[in-house]
Amino acid sequence: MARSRLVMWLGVFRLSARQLQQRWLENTLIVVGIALGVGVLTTGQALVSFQTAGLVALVAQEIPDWRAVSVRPVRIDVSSQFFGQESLPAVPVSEQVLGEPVQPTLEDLLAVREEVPGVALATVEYGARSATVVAVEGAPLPGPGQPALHLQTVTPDEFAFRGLRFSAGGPFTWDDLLAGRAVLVLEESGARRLFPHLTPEEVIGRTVTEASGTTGTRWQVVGVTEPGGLLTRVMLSQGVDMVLGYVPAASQPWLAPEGGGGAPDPRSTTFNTVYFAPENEALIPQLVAGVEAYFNQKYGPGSVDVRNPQAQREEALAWLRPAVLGILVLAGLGLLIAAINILNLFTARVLRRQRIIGTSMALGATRALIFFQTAGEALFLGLVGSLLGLAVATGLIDILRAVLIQQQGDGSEIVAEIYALFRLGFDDGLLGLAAGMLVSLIFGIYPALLGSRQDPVEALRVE
Amino acid sequence: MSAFWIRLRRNWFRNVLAMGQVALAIAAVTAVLADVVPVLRARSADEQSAFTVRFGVREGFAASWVSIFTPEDAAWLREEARSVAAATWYRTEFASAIQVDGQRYLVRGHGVVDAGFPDVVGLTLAAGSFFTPADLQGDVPRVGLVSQQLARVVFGTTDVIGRTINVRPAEEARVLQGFGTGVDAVAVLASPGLDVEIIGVFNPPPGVPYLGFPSMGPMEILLPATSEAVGPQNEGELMVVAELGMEQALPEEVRTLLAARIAGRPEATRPIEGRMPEIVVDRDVSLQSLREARLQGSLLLGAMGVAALAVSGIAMFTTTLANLAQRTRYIGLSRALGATRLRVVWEAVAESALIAGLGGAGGILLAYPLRRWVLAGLMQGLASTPVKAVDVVIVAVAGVFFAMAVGAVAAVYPAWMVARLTPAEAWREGRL
Repeated sequence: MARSRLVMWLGVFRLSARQLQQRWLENTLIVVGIALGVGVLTTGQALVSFQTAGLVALVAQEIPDWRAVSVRPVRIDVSSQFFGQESLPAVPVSEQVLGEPVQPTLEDLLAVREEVPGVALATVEYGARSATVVAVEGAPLPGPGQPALHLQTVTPDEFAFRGLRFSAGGPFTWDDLLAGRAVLVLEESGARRLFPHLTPEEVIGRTVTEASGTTGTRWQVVGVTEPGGLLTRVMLSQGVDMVLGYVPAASQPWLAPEGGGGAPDPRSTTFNTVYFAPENEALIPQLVAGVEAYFNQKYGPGSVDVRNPQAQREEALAWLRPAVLGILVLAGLGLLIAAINILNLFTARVLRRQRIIGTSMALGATRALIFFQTAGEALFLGLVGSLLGLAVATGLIDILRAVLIQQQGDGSEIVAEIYALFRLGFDDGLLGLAAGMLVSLIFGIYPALLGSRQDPVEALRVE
Repeated sequence: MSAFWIRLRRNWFRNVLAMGQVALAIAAVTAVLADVVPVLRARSADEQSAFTVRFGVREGFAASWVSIFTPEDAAWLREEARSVAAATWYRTEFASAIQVDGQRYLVRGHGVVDAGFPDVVGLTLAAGSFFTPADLQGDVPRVGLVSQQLARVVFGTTDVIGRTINVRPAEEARVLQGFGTGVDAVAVLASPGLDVEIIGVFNPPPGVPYLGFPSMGPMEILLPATSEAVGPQNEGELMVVAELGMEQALPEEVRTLLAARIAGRPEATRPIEGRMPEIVVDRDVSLQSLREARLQGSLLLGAMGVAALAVSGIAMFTTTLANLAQRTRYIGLSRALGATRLRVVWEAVAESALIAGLGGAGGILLAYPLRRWVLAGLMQGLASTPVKAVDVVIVAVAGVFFAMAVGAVAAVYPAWMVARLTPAEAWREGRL
């Protein structure tokens, strides 16, 4: 019984193969159409994946609001209201905002870091100081020119937050920050610029003197970091003679009088925004609750704006969704048109084969067999077309990547590195393959039903 | 023609599907074309070029600018420079605060401007008038202009001439946005502000979301460049518009004239970061260049539309193949009675072009909902070009043309295959 069933299906397979061969031109065109449709759809899906996952992940590294719980004074968020889809020229100000704004202090930062469970790192919205390097180790700088020194004022946790690794030394400590010490961490290329004949380890302990206007400071190097994130690399690739460094936030030795007497208490320093990175993403809701509880207790309910990074990411992705929908619909149109071709041609084919179908039924073929034969042919063409479409997609993605890089105007490594994320992923390929086969099957169902529901007697009468 | 309709009705399912396929493809192509055609048409129109004039040092993307120019410099340039059609001194404040009838508002921005401003930006007045020389010569601004959009939001009407707004200090906007580190917020919020009477209501130039787009900064309120508004530091910028045909000569002439004029000013002799500052004249980002840059984004969408069109061409090919296969006996008979191969090809191509053309017409109608509801997220932007009736006609005609071209090209090969058969071969059913 099993053997005769196998023989029957083999026969059906051979019959389908012969019939597909007879109409080779039509079938080739169906396959080409599906290949083009799947190729464009898969390319569109890969582009969407690149924008929503790849680029977003890359940007998230540079936007602390997307990775950590942020605390800032209650304020009006103008960006979405002034420049969004439904932009307004003016927004009314509520009474709550008119009160004296509460700005988180360094003391708040330290307290939350110590007391609220789930806090891994505490950082601030970094400030910046621009100055000129006037001396190293007390002597004029070797080499031509005086490089600009761009100092970011950060907390010791900033280095771990950004994933910065040290090629020598280490970060300054919270004690350094609270004591207002003039300590400095240099970025590697800056260390090479200022100390061209020294290894990073040999730079530790050296001093760098900078000046801006009438103020200046002598900093002691405590660490040298490896090249940083995307934004840092973009900044340093502008061809400007610049050294990047990190100094403790809230310690402003260029403001302190000689001898240190009378300097402001660093703990009372306020920040526009402070960030608390969670130990893991699952703890974020509890962390938000803990931070809110601290500030509500100290300053009153609703005194500060505490934001959940997951909600911030979701808000950013929501902006992208209409564009994603547009790309996918446009990319899917080609596949839809190709699939309608299957419906068109297979319906005509079934009508042409009425006598053959009638004969088959008269000789014992079941309706199910007729149905699966036609549906199977459609699925087969869909499979072949989809596989070919994945090859088309690979080529289209390479072309599109080259066009996108060329549109950026330069061939810098950073641009190439970003667009290297735009490739055919396994998920994208699987989606294209599945879409091609599913659409072919769906549009092959009607002709299959049409063929299988014929009356054999009527079918045999057809000329 | 009647034979065409008879054949169309006989194979209505197949032909309707083919029309639908072409309609989908043409809808995609014309939805994208509707963005491209207005920009290409606007490109041909004469547009005056604007230039920003700054003073400072620049190296790569890093620049340090010094405020040195005054409204008088702009007025002097208007008189003296042959290549300058219009010149203005202006300053913008992003996110400024105002108070009206006890309610505070955070406004998208305001500008302090001089007499040459309307000519440079193409300002159009919906009501009232621009500043008079007396308004510009005062100490503090006492009058102002507001945008129609702002008038509607704040007053609920655009009939606001004679009304008063209280312009708050710049620090207040920063405090309200939460950037008030080191600012005495209580004192700032309690300050009296500046009462300004509205003497005019303006609209931004056509096609832009607000005055100042794309490069000046948003301006919903305009204040006159009085001495106190300009301030002791002259913190503002110069912008000039070139006479038509003199865009190449303008930078050099402006640099030469202004260099001589500012030579004695203290800021002109003070080095910045070890280098002597100089006058830098740059072509401003024009709306047209922004729109053309946006077109690059439409390239991807256009490519997808073209891919869909190619697939619809394959659909027309197979449809024509199937239609001709059904008529080989008729074709054989026609050939036996003297019809030439060319006539057979022409009939088949014309029929396919007509079917595709009908599909294209349907696609034009589909393009609007596709653009409105599906592609809106991709198409909308701050630099959208206004679509005129002539653009709609051009896009519609182009859509139908593309559809008919695809149908005609797709039918050539099947038509030629059938036309090559001898009458005897064609007479035998299923020869094709």
